[in-house]
Amino acid sequence: MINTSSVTPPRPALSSRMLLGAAAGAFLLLAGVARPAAAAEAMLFTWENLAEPVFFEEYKKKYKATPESALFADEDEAFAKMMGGFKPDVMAPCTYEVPRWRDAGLLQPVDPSKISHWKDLPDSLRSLKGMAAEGGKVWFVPQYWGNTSVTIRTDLAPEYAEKNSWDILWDPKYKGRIAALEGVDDTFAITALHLGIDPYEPLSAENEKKVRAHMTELAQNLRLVTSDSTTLVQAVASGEVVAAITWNDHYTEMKAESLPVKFMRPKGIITFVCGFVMHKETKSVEKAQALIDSNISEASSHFLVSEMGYGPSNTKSLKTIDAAVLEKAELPADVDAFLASGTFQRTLPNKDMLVQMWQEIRAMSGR
Amino acid sequence: MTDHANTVSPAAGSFGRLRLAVTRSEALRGLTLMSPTLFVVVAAMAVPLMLMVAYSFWSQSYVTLDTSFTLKNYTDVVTRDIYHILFLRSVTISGIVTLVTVLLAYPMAYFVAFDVKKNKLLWLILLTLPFWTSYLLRVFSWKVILGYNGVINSGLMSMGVIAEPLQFLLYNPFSVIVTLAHAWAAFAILPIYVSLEKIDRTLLEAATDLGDGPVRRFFRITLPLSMPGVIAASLLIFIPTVGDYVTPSLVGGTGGVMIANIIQAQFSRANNWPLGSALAISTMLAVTAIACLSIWLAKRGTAAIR
Repeated sequence: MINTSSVTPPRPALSSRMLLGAAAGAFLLLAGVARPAAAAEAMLFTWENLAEPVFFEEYKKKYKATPESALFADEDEAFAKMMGGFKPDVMAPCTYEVPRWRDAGLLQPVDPSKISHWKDLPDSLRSLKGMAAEGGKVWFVPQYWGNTSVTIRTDLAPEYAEKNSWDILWDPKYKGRIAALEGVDDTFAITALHLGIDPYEPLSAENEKKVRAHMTELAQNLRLVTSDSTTLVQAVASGEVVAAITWNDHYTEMKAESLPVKFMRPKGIITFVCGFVMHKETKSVEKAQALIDSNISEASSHFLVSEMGYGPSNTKSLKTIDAAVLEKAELPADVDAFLASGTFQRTLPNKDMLVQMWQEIRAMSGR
Repeated sequence: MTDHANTVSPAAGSFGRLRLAVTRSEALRGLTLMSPTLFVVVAAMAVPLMLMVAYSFWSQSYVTLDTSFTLKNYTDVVTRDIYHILFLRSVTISGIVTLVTVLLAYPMAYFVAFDVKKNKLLWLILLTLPFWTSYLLRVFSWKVILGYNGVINSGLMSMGVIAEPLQFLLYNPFSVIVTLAHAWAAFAILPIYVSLEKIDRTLLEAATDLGDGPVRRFFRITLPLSMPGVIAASLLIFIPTVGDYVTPSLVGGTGGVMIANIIQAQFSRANNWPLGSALAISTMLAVTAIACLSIWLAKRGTAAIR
């Protein structure tokens, strides 16, 4: 036999080739793992607390499969994720967010004739200005409506228990005992409305100064700012926070824990309407429609009322609901009239500037 | 069989020559060995970094990204007070964290290096034991300890020391410093331990023989010789903590907001990647400058001791 060391030593070359192979293999493996398996079912991109099984029941009956779901804490986060390339089939923003998503080219109109529960929605919601219907096309299918306001602990702030106002947020007595939501759609709107300024009209320079000062004052009272429901509810439950800007589902959750809380309902309280839009590049329009339809079914609507205290867009379903449940949810007596006269939350003009302003105010309000 | 090399095809011949070149040249061999790592570094670090540099010269308005060259973002970074205040606040917080961590870690590392004779490994494992749990879990446990109904508050209240829960424990720079100092402790203990362990014990005996007391001996021999470990630990803590955003966003409240929170917000809810990139790059450059300056100062300081 010939001594192998007299010819080209095979070892280093072999190991370098092996290394190269291993590296290529590892890379491909990683790339393979990173790419999810082709999903056959429609994916719903929704609020953290709104991916309950009951919303998928009709869909499951139709396709014998559960739709996928992905969650967001607020729409700004959702928007950033989709701009980064995330492609769900159906998204669940509130009305005020829809124009931005549409302008960014993320949406396609929905054909209401394919949504079997569309006829159960009241006219006021089916024709929301600039949202649901625009240019004869429907871009948005409402699911529920609710209010953004202030929840207070009636035992810790008894002097406000009988008032229906937001003054407590600015009360120096409760400095460091107030919580606010991170989104400007809620916190800025409440600040502006408290000053009597319409948040949905472009701000004049003078009003901008006023709002900025008022928000700064609010920030100095704040213990925490969050968009995480659990953090917010826990802070109120423990008494760490006496008053917080909340949605009514937070309030319903706290009430369910028998906390002494009150949801302020001052005149001019803001009503938000949230629902569904379809992604421009949905995998299957048909399945996306079925998913939307399933979410506004009668069973889904009952769940929204009894578990979250929201008003369903499917107001027809209210006729088949227990009166005691309705009362507990504190819904207005005449829902259709309430909606017809409602002050709906709309798109904030120059929102990017407001986000920037709110960031700055919070960062500078070091205690 | 001996003619094997001559009967191969020309293509295989050139491959053979390449193989020869690879095996002969040290540098090429090193590069080949490094190539997987190099590939990852280039693909996962250099390319995104270049992209970020590019982004920082673009601009964003509403939903459109304008890719024409502009210095607007950098002008914003330089002229707006909020970024200076936040940067200074971040540097101050990280500086205090670094100081506290190194001061607390040094005695621990010293003890293990000089006084522990048996089971050193066990001691080191025990020191790093808290780091076997997730970082997030440790931050949350600090929330539990410092919280309104937390361990400290309920403990003090049940003892009757305080009537109302203390508010200043959580959601301010103080809680950020406490959490970070604990979270990064292992990164200080280990490098300091290694440099203390390396010190030649005969030097210490010599110093004692020549009349140095324990204190003088520590400052003239032990500390200067362990300085590389201290510098490494300081940099390991300072650089990442300036850019930390998880801790301040969980325990920082409004007063504990740091520069990274603003950068993160630009990339997410404020939807302004160009400004976020400009902020990130400016912060990176400033931190690098501070790190270089402190290394230089530490080296000068060590030299002065001798």
